[in-house]
Amino acid sequence: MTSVALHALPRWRTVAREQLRAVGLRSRVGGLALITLLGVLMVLVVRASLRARSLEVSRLASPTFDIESGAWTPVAAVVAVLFAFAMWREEDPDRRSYHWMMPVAPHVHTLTRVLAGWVWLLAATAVSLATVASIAALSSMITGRPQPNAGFALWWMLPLTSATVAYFLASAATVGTRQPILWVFGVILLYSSSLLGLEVLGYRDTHDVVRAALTGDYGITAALAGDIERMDTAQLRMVPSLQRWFGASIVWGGLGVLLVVTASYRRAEPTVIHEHGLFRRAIVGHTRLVASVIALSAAAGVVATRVARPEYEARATIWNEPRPTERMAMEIRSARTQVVGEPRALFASSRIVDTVVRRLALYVRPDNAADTSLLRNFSIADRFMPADFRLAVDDRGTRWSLRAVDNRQISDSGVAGDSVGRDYGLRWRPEPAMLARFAGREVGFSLGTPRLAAVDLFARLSIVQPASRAFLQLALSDPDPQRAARTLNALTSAYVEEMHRRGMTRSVLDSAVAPALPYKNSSAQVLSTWLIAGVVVSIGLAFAASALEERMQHA
Amino acid sequence: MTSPFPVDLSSSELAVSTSELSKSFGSRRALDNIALQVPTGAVYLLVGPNGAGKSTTLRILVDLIRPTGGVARVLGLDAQKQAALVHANVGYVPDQANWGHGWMRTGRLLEHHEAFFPSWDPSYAAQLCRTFDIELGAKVSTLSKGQARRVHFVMALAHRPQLLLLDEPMDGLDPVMRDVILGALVEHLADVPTTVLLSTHHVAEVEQLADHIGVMRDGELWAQVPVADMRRDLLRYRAEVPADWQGASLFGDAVLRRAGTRNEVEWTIWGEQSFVAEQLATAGATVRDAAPLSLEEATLTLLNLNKSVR
Repeated sequence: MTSVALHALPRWRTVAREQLRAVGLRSRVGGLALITLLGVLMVLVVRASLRARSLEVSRLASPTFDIESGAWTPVAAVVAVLFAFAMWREEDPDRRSYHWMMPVAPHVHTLTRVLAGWVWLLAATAVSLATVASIAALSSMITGRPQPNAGFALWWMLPLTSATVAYFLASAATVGTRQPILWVFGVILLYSSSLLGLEVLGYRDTHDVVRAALTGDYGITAALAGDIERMDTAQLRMVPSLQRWFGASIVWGGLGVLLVVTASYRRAEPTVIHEHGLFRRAIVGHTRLVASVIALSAAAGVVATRVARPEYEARATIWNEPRPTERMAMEIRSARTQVVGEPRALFASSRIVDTVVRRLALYVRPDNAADTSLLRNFSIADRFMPADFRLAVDDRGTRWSLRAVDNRQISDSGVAGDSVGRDYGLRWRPEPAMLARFAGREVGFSLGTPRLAAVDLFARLSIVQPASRAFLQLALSDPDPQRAARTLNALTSAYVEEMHRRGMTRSVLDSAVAPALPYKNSSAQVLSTWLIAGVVVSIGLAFAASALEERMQHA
Repeated sequence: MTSPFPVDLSSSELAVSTSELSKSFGSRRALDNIALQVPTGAVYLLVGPNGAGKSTTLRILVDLIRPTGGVARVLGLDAQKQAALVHANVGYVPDQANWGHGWMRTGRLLEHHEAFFPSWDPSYAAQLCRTFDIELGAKVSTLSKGQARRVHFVMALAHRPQLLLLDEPMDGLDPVMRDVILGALVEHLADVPTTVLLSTHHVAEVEQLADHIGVMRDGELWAQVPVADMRRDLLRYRAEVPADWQGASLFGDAVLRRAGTRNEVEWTIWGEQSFVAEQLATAGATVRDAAPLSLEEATLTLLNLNKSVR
């Protein structure tokens, strides 16, 4: 049979042209709807503009229709998603037989169709933008007021790239999955839950990294909603950032294209066996297993609540925007000092964290947070011995004895008013009245080096500087809520002082207050985490057991 | 498992051949080591009850689904690796009416289809549309099963493929249109040298066209023979036998059906006629008649066999 002359394959150009025609034909109803909407918009704007002019609203700062409202970019993204869904409506992978029967490689065929849709989408977006611009110009002409920010060419690019990114991401879902809407919402739900979970569990660094995918400089919000503003320090106003727009569009557009290409290779076949009721079968068939695992995890959770130490988080905000008069001096100075614009490095330096550690004696920690008051006047000499100490106060509160934990012998003792642990390098003289309050007790505390304490402090400090914002958001975690607030306030003050010393004015917008509730390791959080883990593991085990049983039955 | 019936057609030049073709959907085995062999130029009838694996076989041949094991070759091409070229040279009528692009008008769908087939013959397509009484302005999704089937026939024939894969093609057609389509198919085969692989469970409708037949059941290919061989070797014997005659056991699995009264018995036996008659006579039976079965009777006999025969 190989000797028989075979029919040739179609040329890609012919296929592409036909796909373009077919997609255009399929989109005609949507196109008509769009034209109608734009027509209605034009009528409404013209009417409103005429009314504004006839009323002679002289104080009206802008025309009735502002092209830089920022709404067009997300609108373009939403339309693009709907368009991608409409393109493959009733043609999920199970029902794409006709598409795959064409004499073209399936993935090429799929991608050609996606590209054809993209061309139409861009054309429709461009036409819509042109119409919007015309409406805006008309509105300006009627009211006699110019568009406030019509000069930014980037605003006109945003809907095009936003639509492109949204279209490719949505196309990946429609091309590759049977239920794209479910997938899209599933991904959104999973992402939101992850963010919430990370926040609740206190994994702040991971939370910030994950959140960056949404609202970071190159996050999806920048790509889809056009959230790419940056502060123009010369004009003191927000302007679109070319770098953020380009970066976000490349990152998310690239991801969309990659996903579409991957999805185009996907082969779907009718799934025959037991797809329906799989979940139910697994769970109902293994109720004892599920219940046992959940009960075990709940018990483990209860134990964990006894062990876990709650962590509190204090927050503060610093206004970090340089004044216009400072700017030039700052720019000159920045070449020499390297700290301007790098608040994180400044906080990490000895100027801030080490100063605060020494000022608040953070190198000493009582075993029990309630004993902090006894250590109020604590400080150390240049040479000291880091160790765990026990201070025992007699029943009348007039005598004390001190020993290091690894040494059972009393190393120092005295009466109220004496210096404690001078031989160890301590500079500490508890007030007699305070000592009396600890009568009959033994107070434990750990003494570490200031440097290590500074490193630990910086590790617990979160510094966020939103790209387009002029402030710093600080957060500090600590098992003692009072100490968290006190330390953070000391840190912000030290920062402001240091900046002032460098000739720059900064101010604390919001001081830290002691948080009432723990942000991490509260009993409820620990218990719910264990319970959720138990539910997830039990379901996984039930599925695994179900699959194993089925395999054994059919072996 | 080796079939007691003939399954080897490899002596002919083959338009379609599969080797150890298997397909499983989860734990359910839809095809089990199928060795389908469709000679070039043949009209091959693939028969079997619903769920036998006929449609699955055809879908594998056009790469709509992938086999779990084995190889499929169509027109000398690898059905998977050279699927696009296979599609360009195959006319496929699917078993489902709603095949996609339901939003298009029928005429536009045919235009769309034409763009993908350089060998499309517009005048032939127009002629077929007239013959099949196709309403070009109707929306594809509103077509009845029979109407959709007619459109699919135009799409399958108008690029004059070398192989036609017809999956239950007469399903949903009224008797008149069935006749019209069969007539058009006969004309097409007369004009264009074409191999046809036609799956159906209504043998009588297409019996006149077929020159080869394959019988499938439970995902296995039970028999695969030229129709002429089947008519020659599968016969219904009528014979008189003495009381308490036990001679039928001589033929073992070759006896497909036994019926009749005490002294006159009918057997459907697969075997060379002279040999069977001689064996019966030797065993004491007097053969009164040996008649070939119609294709439908033959396939029904094969399909109604207890599976243990195999």
